[in-house]
Amino acid sequence: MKTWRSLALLTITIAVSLLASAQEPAADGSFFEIRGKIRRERVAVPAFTGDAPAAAALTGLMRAGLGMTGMFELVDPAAYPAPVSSAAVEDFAGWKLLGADLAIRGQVTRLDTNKYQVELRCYSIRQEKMVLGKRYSGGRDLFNRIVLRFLDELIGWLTGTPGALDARIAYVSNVTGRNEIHVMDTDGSHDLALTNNRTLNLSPAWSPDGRYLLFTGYRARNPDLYIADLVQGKEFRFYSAEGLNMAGDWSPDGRTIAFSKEDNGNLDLYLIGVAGKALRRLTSSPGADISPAWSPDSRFIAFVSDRAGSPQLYLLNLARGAESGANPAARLTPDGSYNSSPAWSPDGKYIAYTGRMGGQFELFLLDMTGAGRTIRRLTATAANEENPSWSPDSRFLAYDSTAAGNYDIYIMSIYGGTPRRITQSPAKDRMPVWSPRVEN
Amino acid sequence: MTRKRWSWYLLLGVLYLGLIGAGTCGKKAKDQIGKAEAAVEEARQAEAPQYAAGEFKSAEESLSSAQQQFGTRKYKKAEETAATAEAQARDARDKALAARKQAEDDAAAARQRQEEEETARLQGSSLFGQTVTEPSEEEQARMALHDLHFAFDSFELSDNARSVIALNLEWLKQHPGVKIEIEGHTDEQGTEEYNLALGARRAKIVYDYLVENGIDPARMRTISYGESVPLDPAQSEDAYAKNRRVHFAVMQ
Repeated sequence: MKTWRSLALLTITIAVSLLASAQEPAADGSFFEIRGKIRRERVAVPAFTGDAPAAAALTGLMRAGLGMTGMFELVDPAAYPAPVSSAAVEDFAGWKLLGADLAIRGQVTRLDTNKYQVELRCYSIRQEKMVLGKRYSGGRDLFNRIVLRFLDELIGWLTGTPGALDARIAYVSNVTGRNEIHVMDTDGSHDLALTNNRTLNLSPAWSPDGRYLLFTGYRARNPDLYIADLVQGKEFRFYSAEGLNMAGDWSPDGRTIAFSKEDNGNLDLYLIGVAGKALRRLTSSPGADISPAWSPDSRFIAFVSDRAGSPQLYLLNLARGAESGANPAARLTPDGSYNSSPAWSPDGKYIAYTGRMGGQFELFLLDMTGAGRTIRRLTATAANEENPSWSPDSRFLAYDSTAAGNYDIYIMSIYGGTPRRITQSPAKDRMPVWSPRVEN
Repeated sequence: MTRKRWSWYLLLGVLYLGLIGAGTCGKKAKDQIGKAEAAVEEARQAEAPQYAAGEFKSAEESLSSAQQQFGTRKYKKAEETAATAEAQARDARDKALAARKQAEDDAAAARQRQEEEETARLQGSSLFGQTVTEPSEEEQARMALHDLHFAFDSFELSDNARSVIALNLEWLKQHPGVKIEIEGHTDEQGTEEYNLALGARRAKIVYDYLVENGIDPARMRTISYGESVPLDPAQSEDAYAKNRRVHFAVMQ
């Protein structure tokens, strides 16, 4: 339970203040077209100044973090003019020569044994002025989150909607030999085991307020639904019935849980209130109906069913009630022998899912905006990519991949760029789910 | 008249002598056939039909010809054929006895080898040094109940799985006190949640088969572990094939 408390503490120790800055009017949110060619902002990150070891650590984190956004591109530090002045007046002409659009400067001051003040500033080279300035304070263990939070702000300046990199990713790791639920930062830092019951724990799902995690657990020798309360550091069995009970997704208002329940070998979708009452059946097909994903407007549930022989994605109009002759579920994936694990983007535009192609599993994006419902392939590797989960800003996907041999957690920007591997363990790391935004 | 009568007696005498002679020949043939029959029976007792089938068949055929020849009064021929049959039958008996001894020796050697292997295995295990008497029912179950295997993304019972499940069924019938948990497993290909559903259905189809064939449902429960408990964690088709299974675990 000690680990739980430190998890809660993490969210409250970063103190932020806005430095005087001329905030540019934010660009339109649809600045980046998914299909269009993307021009990434070229960013120079000269070595931060101040307390040397801390400044070096923060510089490294910032340079690594920019790449994972898919929106920024680091200008090669080997080409920077030296020495770089730490004075307020910037050498804009020099950066312009390097082709930089933006430059990020950092100043680190040690306040106490393990307390630092970190000032981060972003300059527009074209406009020759500071466009974003933030002051943070915290210990060394929070440096990664300071950088992630600044990147969120920078994305917000560029697009009008802040990023969601300063968040948690819950996932399943079998590092102890058994599947346990872990929680970590989106860059893999601060990894903590949330369950430690030496049985099996699977399918974590965040409540919309980020306080609870729903998951499937085998603690009582049967797959049942459990809920972990991250604030109180408690865990309880939420729903239990003989047979397979499989998590699950929370409704956008956090009041209802959709899950799958076995009846004589067959799985159907059910709804149940978060108080554990009002069980309601949603589907009655002879196939397995599993992996429900609520649409952000609460009107639909996307799910997986093999009612037609192979696993495919279906859409149920929840506003019209349970599936019936008058309200049949519509098939979403026209092709493929195996489509699974739907994840609805928080902006409602896309469903990301796992599809089998040529013996490998890849990620796909189904466009839910047009009537045509076009499908785009997101990954094309010789490895398996599975179990996508959206960041709250609908810009990133966390997923698991065998690209480095066994399954690890990766995150990728849907704008492209190189996916970032965020777990390195020799164990299997699977089923990542991105938390809601961390508010404080 | 006297001459006529004399020749009549002579004819009768010749006939009589001929009859006596024929009677003696018939008796010898009959005796020989009797010996041949006894020899064939002896060969049969020595399991010649199994261990010296060719020789035994020849003996039987010869005996049958001799009996036919006797029936058609070819006594001399019958006597010879019966003698052949007797010789063939003795040959068949001797060969059968030798073959049976060989088979018994082989079986004894195999038993001995098996015992030696078992001893070697026990020496390697923690059981060695303890008094190993009868294996517990749970241990017996572990040895007797085999895993059933499945094709990718399938919960159908293959011919192979059907023959394995039939053996498991027999064992369960013979051990009515044993309760089992039927575990459904998949390989790691595909998503966990779909694999959990697949594992549940693999377990269920096995459960249904056992119920249909007379196993009390109260002795069984099913559980799906999906892809989470592989037998072989390697990423190869070989490992995947091993991991796509239904396992019978004994419940305490």
